[in-house]
Amino acid sequence: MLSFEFMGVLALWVLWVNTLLIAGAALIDLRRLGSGVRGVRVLRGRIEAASSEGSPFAQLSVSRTGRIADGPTLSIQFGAQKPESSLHGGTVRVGETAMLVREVPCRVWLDPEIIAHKLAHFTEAELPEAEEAARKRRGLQRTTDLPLEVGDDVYLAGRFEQTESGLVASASDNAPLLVSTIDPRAFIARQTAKTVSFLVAMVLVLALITGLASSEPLFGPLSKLGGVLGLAYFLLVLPAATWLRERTAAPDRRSYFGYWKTGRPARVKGEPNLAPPPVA
Amino acid sequence: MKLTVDRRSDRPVGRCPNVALEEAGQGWYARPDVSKWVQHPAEWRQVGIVLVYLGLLGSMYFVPDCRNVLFFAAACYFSFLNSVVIHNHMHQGIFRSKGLNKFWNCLLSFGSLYPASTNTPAHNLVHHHFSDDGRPDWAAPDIVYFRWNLLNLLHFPNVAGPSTFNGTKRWSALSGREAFRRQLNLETAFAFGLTGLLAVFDLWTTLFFIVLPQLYGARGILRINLIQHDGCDIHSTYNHSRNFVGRAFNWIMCNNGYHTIHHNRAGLHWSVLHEFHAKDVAPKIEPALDQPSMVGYLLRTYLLNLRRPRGLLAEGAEPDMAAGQSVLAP
Repeated sequence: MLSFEFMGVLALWVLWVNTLLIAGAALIDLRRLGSGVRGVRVLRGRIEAASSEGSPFAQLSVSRTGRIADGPTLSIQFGAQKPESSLHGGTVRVGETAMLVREVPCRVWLDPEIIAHKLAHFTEAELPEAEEAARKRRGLQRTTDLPLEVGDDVYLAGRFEQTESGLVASASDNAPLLVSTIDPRAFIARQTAKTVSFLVAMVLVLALITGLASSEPLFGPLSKLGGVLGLAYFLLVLPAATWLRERTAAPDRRSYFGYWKTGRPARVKGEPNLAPPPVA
Repeated sequence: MKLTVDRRSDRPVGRCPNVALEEAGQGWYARPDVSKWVQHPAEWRQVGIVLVYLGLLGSMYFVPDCRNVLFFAAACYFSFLNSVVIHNHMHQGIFRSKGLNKFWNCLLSFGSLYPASTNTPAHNLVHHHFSDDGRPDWAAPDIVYFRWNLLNLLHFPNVAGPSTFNGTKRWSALSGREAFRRQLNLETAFAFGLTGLLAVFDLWTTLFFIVLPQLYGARGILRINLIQHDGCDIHSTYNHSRNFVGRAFNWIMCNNGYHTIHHNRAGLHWSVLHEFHAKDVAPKIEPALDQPSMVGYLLRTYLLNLRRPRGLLAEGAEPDMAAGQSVLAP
């Protein structure tokens, strides 16, 4: 016979093992987040020149596929690939020194909220064509380039060497050169604070549930409340941890979903598109 | 063999070819018309598995003497098989009647405490292509990266589960998916409603002897993604999946050990996968990806070997940077 006491211990053990796994994975994510910044120098400067005419100094490109979302108003839902970083190089002024940045493996960070804001932006002129494409099987294929241009303030994290041609930035042995418009150390500190707060709260909530579930009389009303909360905890903590993982990922490792919300009434299937053609 | 004929094309129709029929040029269309209830006689095995599982749950709920290790372990194992049936059923409905298939979805959803229809976007559409519009599979092996490999196996459902449900939610919010959403909501309501109802009458028995097996099966089927694809080359035609080819194992698992052929020809009925595996896959696949025993593989890979098989996700590599590297044997 499997007693309720034994099964209760088994259920709590499952809850605790999963909680510790979530905590362990979150700590690994934090370590990875800081891997390009920890132990390397971080310099702040202003982009002075790009190495080739017409190319930005660096950019983050986000490719997404848009499809028509259901609802009374026309909106396009986007699924996203992970962004791609590219560095064309140029010169960055750091204090009095002009630093040469060559085309090396890189990661480009921008403020995730600014990225999301720019991705949500569309013009009325591009909407009819975008809607047509989004209704097709292939969907609306859209790549948004977010460039870092001359005059932008940037942080660089990597290896900096004094050579005959001056100060040169390059990738460190373990990580690509990080080019960021936000302070990477402050960003990592914020994500660390969020993650640690979540983990502490998660453990405290589970400790409370464990206390309730094992309160005397065993399997009495308080204990029952603990049992119900335990199941709710199990079902909710996993999506919460996934949400946290997405929210605390590096800006170039996030998936940027989102919508274009037009506010126009949605077109019924088969109805012709009467929207005006795009303005040339 | 009696064949069903499509009235419009005047051709035999069906979805359960075998090698001999295919070689005769009619494999894709042949279907034995032997039952008015099920699409294929082999489906009764799946029906039997689910009924045994529900019987085990019912026995433990209603008969205190059945709440023992044997029944509990059997319920957990059959819950996993219930998820295997979900997989097969969502590829090819078991019953001829649409209504019966929808009801069966609900029953299966109760068995695993998640809506069976989730398999349509998560497995049939995304996993079978290994990506979602260029985005990695929601249950790709590289979503976990503990150094101690056993932890990857344990933690995998914690990440793959929510990613799958988030993806399904996004997919079902698109235009033209109203019927899918209705069915998904119905299955969710049935699964959680029936479980909740049982809990109202007997909370602890439900939590311990119904919910624990349900969750074991649901999480087990997610783990299969890791077991069958970790270290494989998803860009290869044959080496993208690991197969478990034991005969007894595949009888009870409804041929779900033959994963390569299932990916390459998702339209094949599960009952003939072993034939097509032998004909199409076995001669071409890396031999290490045809494992004789899943238990042996699990022991070697997750218990006796502390580290993840070399190559994939090498230390320091980002998960998405490691995609495409191939390590075939543990």
